[in-house]
Amino acid sequence: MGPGARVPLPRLAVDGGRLDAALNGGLLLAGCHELYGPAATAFALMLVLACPRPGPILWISDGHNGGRGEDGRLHGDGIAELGGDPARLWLVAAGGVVPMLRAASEAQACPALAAVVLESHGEARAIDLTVTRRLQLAAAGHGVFTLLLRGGAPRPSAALTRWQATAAPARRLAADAPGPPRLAITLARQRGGPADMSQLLEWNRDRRRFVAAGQSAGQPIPIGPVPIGTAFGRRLTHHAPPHPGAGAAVAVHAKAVAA
Amino acid sequence: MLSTQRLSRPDPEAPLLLVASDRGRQIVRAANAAALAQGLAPGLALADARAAVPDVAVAPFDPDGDAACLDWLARGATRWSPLVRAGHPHGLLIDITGCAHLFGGEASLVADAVTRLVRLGFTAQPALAATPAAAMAFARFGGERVADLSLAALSELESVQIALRRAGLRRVGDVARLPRAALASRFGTALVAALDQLLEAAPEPLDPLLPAAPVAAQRRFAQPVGNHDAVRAALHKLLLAVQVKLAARGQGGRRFALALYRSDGHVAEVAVETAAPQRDVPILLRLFDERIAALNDPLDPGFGYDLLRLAVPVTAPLAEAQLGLDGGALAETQLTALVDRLAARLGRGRLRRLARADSHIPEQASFDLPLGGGADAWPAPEPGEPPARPIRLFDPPQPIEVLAEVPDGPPRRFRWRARVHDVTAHEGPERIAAAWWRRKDGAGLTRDYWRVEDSQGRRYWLFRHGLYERETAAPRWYLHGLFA
Repeated sequence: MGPGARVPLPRLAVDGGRLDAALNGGLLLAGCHELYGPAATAFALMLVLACPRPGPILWISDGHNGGRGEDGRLHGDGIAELGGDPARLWLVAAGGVVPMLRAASEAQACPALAAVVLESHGEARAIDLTVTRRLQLAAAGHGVFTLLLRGGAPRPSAALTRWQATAAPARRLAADAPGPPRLAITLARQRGGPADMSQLLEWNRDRRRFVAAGQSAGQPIPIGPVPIGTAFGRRLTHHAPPHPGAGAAVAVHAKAVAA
Repeated sequence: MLSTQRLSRPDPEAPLLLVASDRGRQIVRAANAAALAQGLAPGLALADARAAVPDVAVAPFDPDGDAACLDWLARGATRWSPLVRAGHPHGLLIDITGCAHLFGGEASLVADAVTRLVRLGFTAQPALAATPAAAMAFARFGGERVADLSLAALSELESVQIALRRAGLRRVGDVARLPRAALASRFGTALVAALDQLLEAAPEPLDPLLPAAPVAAQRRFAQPVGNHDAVRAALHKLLLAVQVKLAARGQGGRRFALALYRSDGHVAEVAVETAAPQRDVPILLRLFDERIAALNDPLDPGFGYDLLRLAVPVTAPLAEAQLGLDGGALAETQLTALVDRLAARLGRGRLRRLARADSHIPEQASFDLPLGGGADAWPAPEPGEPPARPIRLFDPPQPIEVLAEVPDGPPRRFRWRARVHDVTAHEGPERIAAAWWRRKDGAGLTRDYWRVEDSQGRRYWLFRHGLYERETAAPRWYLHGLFA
């Protein structure tokens, strides 16, 4: 499973640029990834739609009524408008964090699924280091792409990566209309790899992939380490979560804040 | 007697009356044996009864409770035969055709039934007959032969009984000798129907409490078992037995219902459903494990179960399985198994899929349905356009306060959840009319939808409810969804 493995493990390209370079080619599909932030739902949807695997996407929420609570419910027409097939999305309302995790362990053992998305509302203290390690091991063992949507402040976890997703102002179309969805994505943490880098991504629904914002589709994106903060100024450094274990990045981060 | 016996179990010797109010008076509707012995009969006013026996206990007459109790007893009676019906108000009808040999003959089956009912505090009057109506009549009126039954077995109506008696008829046998056509013209067809049911001339469907399952297996224990492992081992054997029967029929089960009969008369039921016909024992055992682990009130074995029955009420053809090299079939099998396990644990209603309907009202056009069934075709979006529909929808829409430059213009600023959002870009309006053809008056407010982005870059779907001046003077605004 390590970088020395002969056969390259399937990976999902995120921005086709420096994020992918940092991720060693893209998001490892046989792994568990954590998503935080107000646009985590959108980011998760786009990632699973970009994932080339066939099969249903199991969306397990810890809510009681299929996410009909505070954040509204998933809207089929809106998912179709993102370029996805809403019929592929299977919703499970587990009704609690523990049932959600039990359902996840069932789902992760099913290789016929394209992806498993776990959506927890609030802080969900039950999802601790042990639980995330179990999720990660199951994802790696069965090769099931697992996304964990979390609320609250980032907590210790054994997931491969941690992402922070917020909405970003979209490109303006004619008559000042907002253009395709844009997200400000921060790779906050990566196990055994560089982290703490941000990117503005625009979702191209016709090709079902991200395009780094500011670039027209298909244009190459310069690859190279860019310290956090340069792309978005102060506002995003605010959102950047603390990242234990990434010492070098912390120093860069501190400098950026102090500057 | 059921009404009083289900209440007076602690002390059946004390007189007890059940009363209901009738036009402002408290009337005795039922009395226990002790009360009857003291001359307190149903129909008496409570005041009179109290005058006769001052210390009589009184409780409200509760026919619904009686019916529930009788249904509970009927459920327990399925231990003797799957075909059981509660004969309201006080009877239980059990079709023991082909069942008696399991209990060592009819006599010992009846003895077992009476013993169990007595243990629960009920008196039982058993009767065996060739038809349900005759069995019920023997239980109520006693006797050995249908011909000797009293006229009350033919009709509940006093007037009909009197008319029959005036015609010189004393027993059912006297009536049965007369030509049916004459009886029908004089006393009504209901009487003839009742007579035919007593005499086996007309079949009377039993309409059982539980539909008879095409495949079932049961295990009886000489000693009640309460141990979870023992119950699970018995379930395993039942599943094996059912598997053999299903395989012989070339079928699989869609629903498996396990009934656990407690020795004190209670019946617990656990059922699992499968998305596709199934007869694989390890899979089914695992589904039962999931279901039992997820039960809200865990199985309470009490003094133990003395009978387990596994019924397969819903079956469907299932060909002999062969593991295919075809990946598609394998994936299908894996997904079905996953859905079954999740459904057993969480309940089938918790598994949903997104569905769409032919409506232009957004919250009606897209909704979720239980998983399963055909998938809908979704319209492909226009290439190159930004998404016109949000990924999350609020149902109902959330009211917001909006500041617009002109009442029918685009929103400039809005307040949602105590936070002010400045609109930096907008697109709209997309006008969606109410379903005016559904309403008689043709009314209903038009919605003007706006896709807006705030200064933070978040995108919202807002609508103004009602056209300014044409439909309403002060249109209200709502937030209906969140875009990516």
